[in-house]
Amino acid sequence: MTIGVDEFTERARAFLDASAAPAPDRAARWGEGSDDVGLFDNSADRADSPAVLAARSWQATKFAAGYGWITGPRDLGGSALPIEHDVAFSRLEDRYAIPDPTILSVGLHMVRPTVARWAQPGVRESVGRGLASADVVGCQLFSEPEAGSDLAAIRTTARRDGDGWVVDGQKIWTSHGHLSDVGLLLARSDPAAPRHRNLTMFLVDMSSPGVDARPIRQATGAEGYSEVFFDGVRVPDSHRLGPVGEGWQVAVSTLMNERLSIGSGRSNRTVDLALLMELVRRHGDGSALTRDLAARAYVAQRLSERFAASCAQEVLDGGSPGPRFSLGKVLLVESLNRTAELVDHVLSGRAVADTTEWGTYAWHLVGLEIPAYSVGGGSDEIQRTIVAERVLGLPKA
Amino acid sequence: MTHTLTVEQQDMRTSVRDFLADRSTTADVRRAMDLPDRFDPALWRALGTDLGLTGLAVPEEHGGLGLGHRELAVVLREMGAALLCAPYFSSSVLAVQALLAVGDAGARRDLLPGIADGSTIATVALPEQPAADWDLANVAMRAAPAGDGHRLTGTKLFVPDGQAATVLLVVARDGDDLALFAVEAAADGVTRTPLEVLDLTRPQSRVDLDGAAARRLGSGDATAALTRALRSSAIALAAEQVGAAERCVATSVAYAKQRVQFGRPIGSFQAVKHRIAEGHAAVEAAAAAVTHAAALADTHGDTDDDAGLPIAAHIAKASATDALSRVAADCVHVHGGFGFTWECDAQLYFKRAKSSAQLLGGAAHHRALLADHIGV
Repeated sequence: MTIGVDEFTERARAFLDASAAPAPDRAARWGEGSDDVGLFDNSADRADSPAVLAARSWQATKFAAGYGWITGPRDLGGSALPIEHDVAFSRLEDRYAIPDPTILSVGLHMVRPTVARWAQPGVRESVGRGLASADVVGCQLFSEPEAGSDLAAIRTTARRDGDGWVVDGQKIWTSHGHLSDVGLLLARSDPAAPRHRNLTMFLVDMSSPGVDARPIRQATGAEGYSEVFFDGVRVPDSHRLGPVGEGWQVAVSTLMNERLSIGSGRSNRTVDLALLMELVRRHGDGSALTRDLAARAYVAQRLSERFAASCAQEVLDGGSPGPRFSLGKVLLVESLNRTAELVDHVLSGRAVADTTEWGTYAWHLVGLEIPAYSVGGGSDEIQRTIVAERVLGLPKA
Repeated sequence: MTHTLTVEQQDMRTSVRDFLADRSTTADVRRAMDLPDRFDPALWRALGTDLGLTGLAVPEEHGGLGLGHRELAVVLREMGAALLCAPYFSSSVLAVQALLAVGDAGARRDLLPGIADGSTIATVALPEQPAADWDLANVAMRAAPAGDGHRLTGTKLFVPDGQAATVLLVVARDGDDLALFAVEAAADGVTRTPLEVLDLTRPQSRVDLDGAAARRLGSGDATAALTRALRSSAIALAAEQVGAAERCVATSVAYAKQRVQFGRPIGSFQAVKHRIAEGHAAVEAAAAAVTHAAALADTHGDTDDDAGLPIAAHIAKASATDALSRVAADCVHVHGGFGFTWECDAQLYFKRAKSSAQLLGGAAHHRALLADHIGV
């Protein structure tokens, strides 16, 4: 007998009350604490960073209490509850001051469901459970220097060798690759097979000999991504996910989960709208132009959230994350652009030089981080093409 | 979004859609544009007596269906898609919302049954020179007490369906109060003049009042009540805009698939498909905003409890206006030279987009009201 969502929510509230403090109202406490408004947790840049340890510890606490993988299968430590319960928990959790979970989001929302669905017995249990409890941090090894938007063009090879495989090649733009324990690796396993039938998915131990994950310094100065080199890396066949040659199908299921996670706003921080509007009150000139820009930013963010909520509802009603969810990212990027436009207007010189006033120059990060959304997870152009061809039915090029 | 509709709402959508597919084709729309009051009285009677739609939001005790904003949104969306020519928005939405908001039991009893069955066509007269907008603060017309009632003198502009209307609900000042007055359209001292309009599917009139007899509805200052009425009407209008916008996207898609240049359908070119996809994103977002606002209006519409309703309503109207303006212009563009011919239906939607953008205030007006509510 499944627990009803109301009773579940009450129990979750009791758990959260006992385990975390209420989220601070930053707009009401202007000038207090950190004024970080970045969309990524740039302090989580090393495996032993306090931010990383805190995120893992909070996930472990949730997992032990039955909230770490609400929709997950019971044999992997999940609670096997409907997604409705998961959505209810997320909404509730937003009201508490919890460690930033974004460094775990690839592992939890992309690698974990892929492992649960495709991994072989043994690996499935150990890694699936490990990811869910954050004992294991996961990353995704898809993009390559010559295969960005054209993902099927990857060149990293996996060659049969005895009862295992040997991987050679290079991956890039791997979020948190240098602080991950396992990586979901898409490799070309058959040089002769046709496109989309020549790939196989693996789960790679990132501490294997021959794996070299090097952080990439971004325009923000942070090191959230890596490039990962593979030089004769041995992967046992037990760590293959799905059939040989069917890696594309496995990757598509992962990307569906990514789309759901990004589209429904669960993989990223969002702009604190109350704090943004407080910035306008404190530093704006009250002109009609400023008010209009503020309203535009407000509308764009609410539209993005509203659309995400409608996608979540669609899943609640039994739908699957279809191509329509690509719109979520298009709307999110639009919203971030409106925010950046507003803060630049309101802050003027303070947008590009730090006067040390609390909550001013900090906003520069939003503008610098937009490309992570407009490029990452499939560029805006890829999303528009998906929407045009697969939602609207326009012909392929 | 299908998934948020109840079975009853889906049935209602289907019946309205089927009815409009039969009775409001673009050929019908073009015929109606040339009729004296720009609508077909037979179609109007069918909307009322066959479908009961004219009384959709009228309480059951006054002969209506007593349904809410979500149902209004469903119906208006279909009407927008079909570009229906009828005084539906003016009478069954705007006037009904105003009558319900001012809380005058006698006026409800007298006027709502006729509106519900379609025999009365009501509209709201609000904008005046010099502001010529829908801001209640810019209403200057003053009522003069006369015996039991009042008399009104002055000019109202942009009165939607002013020629078709049998009753005018005029916003004017009575002493310190802003108030709503009912004026018989055929009364002495009322002169209605059709304005030359860009959008022939939604006619507008100038109404000159010269000592016209007026019945004041409700007591006390009606600013809050009229604000509520304009707000709920704006949600319904936004639904109509979303419906028109969805049709524009569908028309663009259909044409882009069929029109061949350089040996391939133009819809296969990214420059064209991305333009259409971006418009679709804007429409989907506006649709989600309208659905949300309508649901909030059903739970909080009769009160001044904040509950996010004003914010949601202004977001809905501003985003639906922007989305329709964009996709209607894109639809003309995708059709190339044909798009700006009289023959092409895209121009009809473009003009509706323009007139809907102004009705109840433009996107910037709604963003300014939104900014007031956010407190910036």
